[in-house]
Amino acid sequence: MNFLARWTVDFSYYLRANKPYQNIKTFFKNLLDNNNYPYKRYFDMMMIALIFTSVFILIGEVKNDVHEGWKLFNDYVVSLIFLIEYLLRLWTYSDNSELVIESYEKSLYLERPFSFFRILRKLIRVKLKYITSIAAIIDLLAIMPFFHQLRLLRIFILFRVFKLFRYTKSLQHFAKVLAVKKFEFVTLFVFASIIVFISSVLIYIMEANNPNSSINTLFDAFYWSIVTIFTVGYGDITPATDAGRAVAILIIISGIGVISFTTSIIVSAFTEKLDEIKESQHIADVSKIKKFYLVCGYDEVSVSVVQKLIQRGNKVVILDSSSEKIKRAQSEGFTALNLDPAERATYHKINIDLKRQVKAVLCLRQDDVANVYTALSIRSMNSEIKLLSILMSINNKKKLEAAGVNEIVYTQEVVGMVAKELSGKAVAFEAIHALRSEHLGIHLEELVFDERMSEKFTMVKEFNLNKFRIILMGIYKKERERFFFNPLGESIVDEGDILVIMGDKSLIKEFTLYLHTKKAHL
Amino acid sequence: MRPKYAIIFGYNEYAKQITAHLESEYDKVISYILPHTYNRLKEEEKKDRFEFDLSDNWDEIGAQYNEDEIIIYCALDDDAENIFLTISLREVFKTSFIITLGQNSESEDKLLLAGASKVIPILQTTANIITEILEKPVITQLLHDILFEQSDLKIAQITIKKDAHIDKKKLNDIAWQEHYGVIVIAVVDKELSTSFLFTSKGYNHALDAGDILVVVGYDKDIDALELEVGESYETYWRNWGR
Repeated sequence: MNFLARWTVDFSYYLRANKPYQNIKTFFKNLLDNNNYPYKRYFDMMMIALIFTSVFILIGEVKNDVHEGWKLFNDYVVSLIFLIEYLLRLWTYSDNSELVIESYEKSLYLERPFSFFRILRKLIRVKLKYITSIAAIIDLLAIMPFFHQLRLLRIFILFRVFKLFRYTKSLQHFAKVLAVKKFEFVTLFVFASIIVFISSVLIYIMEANNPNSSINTLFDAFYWSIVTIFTVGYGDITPATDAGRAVAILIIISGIGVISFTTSIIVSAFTEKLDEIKESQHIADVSKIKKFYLVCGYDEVSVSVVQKLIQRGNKVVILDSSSEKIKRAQSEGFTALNLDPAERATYHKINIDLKRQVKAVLCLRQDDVANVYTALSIRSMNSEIKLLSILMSINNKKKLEAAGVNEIVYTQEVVGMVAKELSGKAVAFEAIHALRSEHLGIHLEELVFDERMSEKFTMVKEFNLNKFRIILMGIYKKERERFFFNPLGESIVDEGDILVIMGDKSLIKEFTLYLHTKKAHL
Repeated sequence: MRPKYAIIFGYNEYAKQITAHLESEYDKVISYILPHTYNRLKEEEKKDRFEFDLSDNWDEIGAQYNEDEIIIYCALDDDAENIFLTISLREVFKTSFIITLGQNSESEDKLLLAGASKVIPILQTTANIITEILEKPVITQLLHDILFEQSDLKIAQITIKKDAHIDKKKLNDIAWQEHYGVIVIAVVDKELSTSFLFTSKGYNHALDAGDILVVVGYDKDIDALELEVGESYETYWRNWGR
């Protein structure tokens, strides 16, 4: 291996091992291309603002004197920012060090010499692929005003408007949708080009030598054909001979075809892609929710559970592989995605951090097999997340436990217990039921005794419970995992304890505020 | 009078769980099963289990039981069948307590109209439990332990006896928590027996004999309180308007 090749390989390994370099590259890659990266939004907004500033300065220059400072800003500052962006995109487009290492290791494996020039060609080819892409060409043209002070070339500023495609998602969707119909557009373009070519030549032959005709050059003929085929028809140039009018008839009829064909292609492209666009929008929305419950399966129980969780101010995301059920959930106004909750790929697709974003996963399908499968998929990705599942048949309880479900709700057993309670102590049961349903304005709430509270209060008697008409049912000591019922005045309260309190909803709020601020509000 | 027998209609998982939970509460738990399920039972499984059909003549079943001695559970699979069953049973057992399972709130209304004394809406009950487990885990565990007596804590209803020393006293004047070790969560006034007066609403209710106290506390404390102020027998559901 010659010196250059050795140096290239050594340097590539150095870059791969260099954490700050990798971090910086990842940061810029995310900033430029990762739609889920939180700071990309701000970067995009800044670039959009620069584009509009540029265009406004260009418009202002046409008939007014623009301040020299603005001109300099437009020519140098904006262009320089765009140039830096262009170079960053070129840098992050491919990972050269990885390509070198991959090629080197392949050479070692195949026992053939590692050629510096071969890898150089490969690297240049990869970068050229980016440079010749439409987006990169637009970027480059948008920088052009920086190099040219010629007035005509200032029109290149308008290329900056095309850059908006990079920063606005809806424009990206629009371009993607149209890209699907590439074949149809090419066919249409070829058809229109042939018609324009034939009609331009024909009208030129028919009219060019006629002194009454305004068509004197081939460009006049081409201009007239374009204006006529796209049904604009300014009327500044009109055929003077019968033969010329015959050509006009031909091109007008073709023009109707071209317009209707174009419209139908665009409409059908949108119709076909509409669901996909909506779905991708929903996915993007979900990945931005900070904390939510993930409901797997939209069956009867799910409807009631989701409603209750939302009523309590929670965010809920529903996943179900049945598009019909998802449509129903969406029509109810819930956030729902038509994805299989049992597939790991689903979670990669929706790009959520289970640990950080999901409060708990609820397996609510009316099918134990599906719930076990979903629970296992989730557990294989995260061992800590809270998993709750309903159980349809008692025989499958152990399987759900084995799949790592923390809370199992067996409806039949719950009903059995409720039935027993109803038969014995109906009044007491009704009282508890009224408390649970919160219909009578009295709530039973859990209040975490946090650090701020523990700095001000140490004993129950300091809480001033009578003032807020709060009943302290008990204190749950997390560390000891024990519930202390009816704690009297001298009982000590520690940070992290959970107070179980009963009282009027608004007074509970006042009481919580009091514990936080120690200012009586009554 | 507290019922001696529990009669359960249906033989699905719900009915089996109800039976399992009621066996310790009543002298006998009797099941009535639809023919297609009943015929699949082995002979030894037929003890206290009888066949019935929705089109039966209900007078025959009515003649077998004293309506004050029974509590009835309707646990058929289908809401429509449960409604039909409840109407038929109510015709025969005018005063019996009939508890019926319903899928949701909509069927709950229909079942109440059909004559059910109490409806257990399956979906809502399950949804409530799930939401509570997620949102209020400590309270869920506490209520579960209290309601289903899985700890020393329990909930009880105590009817104030005549001439009890708390008769005519104001609710808030009694140191329930310090003196008796119990928490009074609600009171049912004997004159307004259809709604709760929650103590934390702040009403300083004047207690009368016949009022029902709903209290939470340890077994021994509740027993002591009951002995001191309560009537000899636990208040039964019939005193409680629906």
